[in-house]
Amino acid sequence: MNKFRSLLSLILAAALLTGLCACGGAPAGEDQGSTLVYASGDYTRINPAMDEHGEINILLFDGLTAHDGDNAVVPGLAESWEFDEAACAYTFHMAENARWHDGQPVTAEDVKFTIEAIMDPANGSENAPNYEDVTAIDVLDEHTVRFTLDAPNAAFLDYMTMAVLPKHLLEGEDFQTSDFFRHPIGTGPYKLESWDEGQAITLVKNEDYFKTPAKIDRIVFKIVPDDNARAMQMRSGELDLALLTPRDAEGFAGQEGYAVYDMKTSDYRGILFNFHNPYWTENRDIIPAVCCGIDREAIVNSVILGHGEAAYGPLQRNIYNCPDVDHYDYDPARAEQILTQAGAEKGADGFYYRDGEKLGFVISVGAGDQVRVDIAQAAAQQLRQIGLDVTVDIPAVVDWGGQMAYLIGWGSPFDADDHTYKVFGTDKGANYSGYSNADVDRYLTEARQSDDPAVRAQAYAGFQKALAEDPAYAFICYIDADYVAKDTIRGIDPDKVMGHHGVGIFWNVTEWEIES
Amino acid sequence: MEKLLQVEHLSVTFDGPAGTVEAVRDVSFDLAPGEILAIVGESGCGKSVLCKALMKLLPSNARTGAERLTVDGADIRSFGERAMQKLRGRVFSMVFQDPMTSLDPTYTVGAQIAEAVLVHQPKLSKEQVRRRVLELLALVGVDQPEARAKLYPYDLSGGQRQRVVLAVALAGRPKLLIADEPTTALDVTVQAQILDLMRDIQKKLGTATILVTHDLGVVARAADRVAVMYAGRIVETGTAEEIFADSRHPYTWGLLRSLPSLAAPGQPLYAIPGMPPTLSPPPKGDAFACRNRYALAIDYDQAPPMFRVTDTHFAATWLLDPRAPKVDPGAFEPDTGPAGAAPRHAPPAGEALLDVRHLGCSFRLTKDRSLRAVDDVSFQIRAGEIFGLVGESGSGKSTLARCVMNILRPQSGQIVYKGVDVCDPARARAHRRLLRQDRQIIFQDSASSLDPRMKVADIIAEPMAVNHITPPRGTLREEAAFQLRYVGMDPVYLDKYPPELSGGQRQRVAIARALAMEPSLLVADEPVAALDVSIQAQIINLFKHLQAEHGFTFLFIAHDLAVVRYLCDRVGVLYQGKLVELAPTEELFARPRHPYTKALLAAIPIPDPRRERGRPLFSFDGTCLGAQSVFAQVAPGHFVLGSGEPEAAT
Amino acid sequence: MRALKRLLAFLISLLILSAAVFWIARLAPGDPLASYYGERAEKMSPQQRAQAEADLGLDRPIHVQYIRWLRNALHGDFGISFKYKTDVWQVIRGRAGNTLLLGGLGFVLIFSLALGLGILCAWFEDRPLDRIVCKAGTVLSCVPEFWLSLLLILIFAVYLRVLPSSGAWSIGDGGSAGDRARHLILPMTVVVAGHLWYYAYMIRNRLLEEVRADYVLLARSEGLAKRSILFRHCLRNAIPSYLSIMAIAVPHIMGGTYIVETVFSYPGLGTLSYESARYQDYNLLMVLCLLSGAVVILCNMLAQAVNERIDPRIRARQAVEEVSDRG
Repeated sequence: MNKFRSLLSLILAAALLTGLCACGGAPAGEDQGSTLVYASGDYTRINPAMDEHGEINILLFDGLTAHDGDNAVVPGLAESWEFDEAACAYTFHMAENARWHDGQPVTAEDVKFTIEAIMDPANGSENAPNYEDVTAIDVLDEHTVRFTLDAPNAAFLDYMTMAVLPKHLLEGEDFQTSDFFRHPIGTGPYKLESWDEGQAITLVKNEDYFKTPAKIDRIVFKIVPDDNARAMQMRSGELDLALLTPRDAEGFAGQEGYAVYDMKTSDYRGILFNFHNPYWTENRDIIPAVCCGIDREAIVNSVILGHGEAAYGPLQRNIYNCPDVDHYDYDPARAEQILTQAGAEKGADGFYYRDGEKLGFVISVGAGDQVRVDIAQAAAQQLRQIGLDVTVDIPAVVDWGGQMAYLIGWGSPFDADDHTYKVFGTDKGANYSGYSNADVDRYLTEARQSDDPAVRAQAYAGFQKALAEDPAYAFICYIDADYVAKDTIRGIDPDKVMGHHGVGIFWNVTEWEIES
Repeated sequence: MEKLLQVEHLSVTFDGPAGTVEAVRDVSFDLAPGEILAIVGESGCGKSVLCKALMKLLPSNARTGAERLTVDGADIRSFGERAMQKLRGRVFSMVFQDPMTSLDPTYTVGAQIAEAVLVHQPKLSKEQVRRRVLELLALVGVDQPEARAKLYPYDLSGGQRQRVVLAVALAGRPKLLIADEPTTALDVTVQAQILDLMRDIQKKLGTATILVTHDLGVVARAADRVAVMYAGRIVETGTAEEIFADSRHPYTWGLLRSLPSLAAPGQPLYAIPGMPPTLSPPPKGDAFACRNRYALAIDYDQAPPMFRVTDTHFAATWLLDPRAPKVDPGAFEPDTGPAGAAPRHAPPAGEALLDVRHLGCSFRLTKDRSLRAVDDVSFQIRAGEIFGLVGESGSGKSTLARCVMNILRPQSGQIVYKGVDVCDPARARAHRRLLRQDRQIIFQDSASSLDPRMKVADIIAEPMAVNHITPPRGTLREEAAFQLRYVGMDPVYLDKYPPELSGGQRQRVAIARALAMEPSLLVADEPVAALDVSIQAQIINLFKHLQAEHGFTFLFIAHDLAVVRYLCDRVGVLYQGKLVELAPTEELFARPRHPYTKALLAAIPIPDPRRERGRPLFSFDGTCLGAQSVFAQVAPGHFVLGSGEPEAAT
Repeated sequence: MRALKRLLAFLISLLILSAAVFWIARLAPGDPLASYYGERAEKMSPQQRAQAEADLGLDRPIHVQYIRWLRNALHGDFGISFKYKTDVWQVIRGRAGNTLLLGGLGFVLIFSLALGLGILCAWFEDRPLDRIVCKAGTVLSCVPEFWLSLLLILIFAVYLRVLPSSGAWSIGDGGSAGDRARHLILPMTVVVAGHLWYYAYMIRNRLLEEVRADYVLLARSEGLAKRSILFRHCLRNAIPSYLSIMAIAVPHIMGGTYIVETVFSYPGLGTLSYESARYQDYNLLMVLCLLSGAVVILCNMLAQAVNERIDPRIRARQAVEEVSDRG
């Protein structure tokens, strides 16, 4: 009796499971149009105004301007603009057929509202430094808006690629915690269909896009934060496009059905010296020795498997790059010479001492990015061989006030001003290290305020030379972005320079299509 | 008449990790329909294995071989499990020793009998099955069968359970019933009832029975024919009268002599020296030779064949060979009764070593039920005497022993030992050293009272080590060796572990452990109940020796009255927690006053078939135990629990 | 009365658990701001950090924070998750169903399969089948779960491409029953494989113990077939201890889904717990710990109750037995 009961329940359970499987049937999406599944990191909110970079922003939103394949500025929501030199004001004429995803028309009020919110220090936006010279925003009519700056800023048009947010939905809301940022409504070529918390964000084509609508019906941002999982899911066919580590990407090179895009980025890594820390007030002169003591080629080959380039300045991928500066190529002899000239002596243990103190510092690295940790460790090891007692620390909390050095990672593919003015300028918004150099300030301001390419080139050259003479960072390398995609996807631009974390691949997503 | 069972040259060997064991060697016998054959032997002689071999219930590592094995005309040697299943229950069935574990505790009694009925008659309707169940219960003598059928095994008493097991065995109307020690786990009074029931069934249903036992008294009461087994062989077989009156094999002599009821009072019990042999491999020649004082040289060389004494009596001993010398071991005259016993020497009139006054101890069973295990018991034990406490299960004797030893805390009363009231916690604590060393206890089950992971030497030395006593013999190990020799074991056993020893040896180790502390009082809680007769005799002799030589005082608890009669100076009888009678031994056995004592004495099996069979039983139904009962003296030293009126001596 | 004492014990245990988790979480290294602000936390200046900490209430001494949390909790407000910025219960509710499905279904499967397997082994005791199954089972139970998970993913998702490698449902499918079932197959296999043999072996041994009992001998001598004996008698006697084991196994199996969930990116409470512990999502971590603590305590109480129902019957029975055994 008992036996029958247990046997029966077993059979029932098995039948149930197979029945479920059977009625589940064919995998979804076949008759729902084309779908692109992209491996994404996890999002807790989509907030282009407050957060600096997010791959998904470009799909959902538009700015007044946009970037093309060469990272030059092209029209976005604004069809045209003028610059009034005398008043130092930009006037933008917006497209009239642009609508929000909920059907409301996009107006100049939205633009004003967005930029003012970013500028408001109470909101704590990461992007605020970009707009710090905006003095007034005037809405001239429904589709015309004017920005008045207190000083010319050639990069201003770049900064106007900032996504415009709807005033009618965000007025009165808190810009950090509003629920809007989990159900964003934008103007972009895709709109949010569903957000499966922690699993996937599904975007569906916006048929009413004011520019040419996209061809791919659906794009899914599948949340796969783990590198190994991404590689595996690419292999199993569950992902169509993913940014992989160099090692994983190499595994797909030449494989049937896959295309590997090894793309340059403006994302560099380097050692930031925290000038708030009193150590550097006395020991600033050893920084050039540090720069010479790093074998960048070795790091590029061993840590990122050759998918990168040795770095000597922040603008190497930019048109205004000036290669004619001190690259601080790896030269241990030169480093030792600098140190001896600074008055240090090599002790019996192989380290340099000055005034009885061992020379050396601690590089702090943010936990979570293994590549950064590896770069820091490699650099530290190389510096120890020269005789500087450099160690690596991975604190749980980044201490900008106290740390001695930090492994920095960022960079911008857009206007040269984008990640230089606010980073290297004295007391600017993104200048975390407290670096201050009057020449650098002068050059950066000069470059920013002119829109004459020749003037700018010269100013940026001057900036880079001044930076090389008084280094703020020990630049190490630029990192490439390795994208792997199914070869049925057409339209990916392999030549565009990507941004920090390889962001920017979707810039021309409306032109992509999936071959069947 | 066609024989029901014919066995010729049956052998069973076990393949174990230690080698092959020949448990049954070359056994031949037969059984007529309706006959009761008793197979007698001690533990390890192979009788249980023989029974299981007949029914093919042995484990898979047993190999059976026989020249002939015919049951009810069918040759079952080659029968597989399926074929045997058809036979079991219908042609033969089996009853086991422990009725508690023989029944499934999760089914009612009626359900289990019904299951047995349905095995061989699956087509019966529910109503028919029910009727058959009640019929069987009535057959085995269970009263109120309707009500009892709905009870679970643990609701019934031991005797009732064994009856139920019988009902289960008889459900298929078997022609042969094999009973493996069916009464060993039961009380003496119940034992007799069950045996009579089996004879009853034999008459009513014509069922033949193979009764396996080690108790010769049981044999005398119930058996028609007897077969004596030793070391896997049948050494003697004949009718019951022939075996008891005219046995020929030295082993049978030894068995009969070891019975306490047949012993001459005052003389040590006859104990067969030595131990049964291990059967892997069996010794050459006669296995009994090394313990046989009448052994001949040829006994060590060649096993004796069965010699004919009469047509029904056969014995396998070389003494029956015409060339052997004549041996006459002396006639056995079983004790003719209480009056024939010689007077015992008077117990020493020392002061009271232990004084129990109005002791009461109860247990809480469930929320609303509690059991009064010991109810207002008072007695004294004098120094140097052996005090016997008898009673059946449930009488409270074990509880009493534990109270005396301070293992249990009594609810009322006092226990004064050497002037110290051990029930008073303060005083007990103050004298705990004395109390701990001076009183020792020996339990019934030696297997569980010895730690199987400790060596014998450590076990014996443990009490001394724990109490920080310097051993008088130097080191602890030497002390242990001394004590071991004292109880009659070779010091080579010092490094062995309890599971390696036999039951008798273990009990001796337990005694050695108790003696190591040189206590004044030794409490022995059924120390010989689990032992074979010959081993039992050795232990009892040891006790007697200890009392005589060293003046040990014993509180001896038992249910076997024959042993008590042989060993004890004074006896107290317990019934359901109350002390119903207390008297010097001979006085009690000669002139019992209380009805319960009478019933108990009447139930002792007499190892003489002529007198035992058909002897009526006294039954006792628990009356005369009203609350007003008073413990009064009716003769010097003789106390009885009664209603207060003096009774005339019977 | 006893129920009241049990309830009190339960609440006090939870209170102590909450205090312990609270302290340990806050003393452990890690940056809770990273949970709330994500990458931005890296770039905040010390003043901004201080401000952010004050906003989140992390600047007060720990015991003050605890009292505040406790007061809110007693009113039903357990705070918001730093990462998801919604009420913790909402976050949990979204994921709990998945874990219940995985764990619950796994539980049922484990115990029914273990029973079947144990019976099978007991039936064929010491024959080749039993020996092979015992050895295979031992090996299986020693295989680490994450390794097995990765192996299965490699075989079925990457090479054969018949099953999905992660998640609880396909994107865009909306979670039809069939799709969910397909996603459950691999994680469920790992969950079951990890625990199956432990319980199967237990019931096998329990049954074999019963098979040696005397009543089995009696049943055999009646002529009962082996099948009847095993199922009608031995199983019935072995089941009570099996049931009490089942009660204890609930938190064991439910909690054991964490590794599987992480490897399969299965959105359940397991991954949530891991995340909240790793990234200092204090409120979420607290509620998850309390939840699992409550489940453990409740299941233990259940097991105790089950045993008491079986046990006092046995104990009373034994007491009566000893008393009336031989009469």
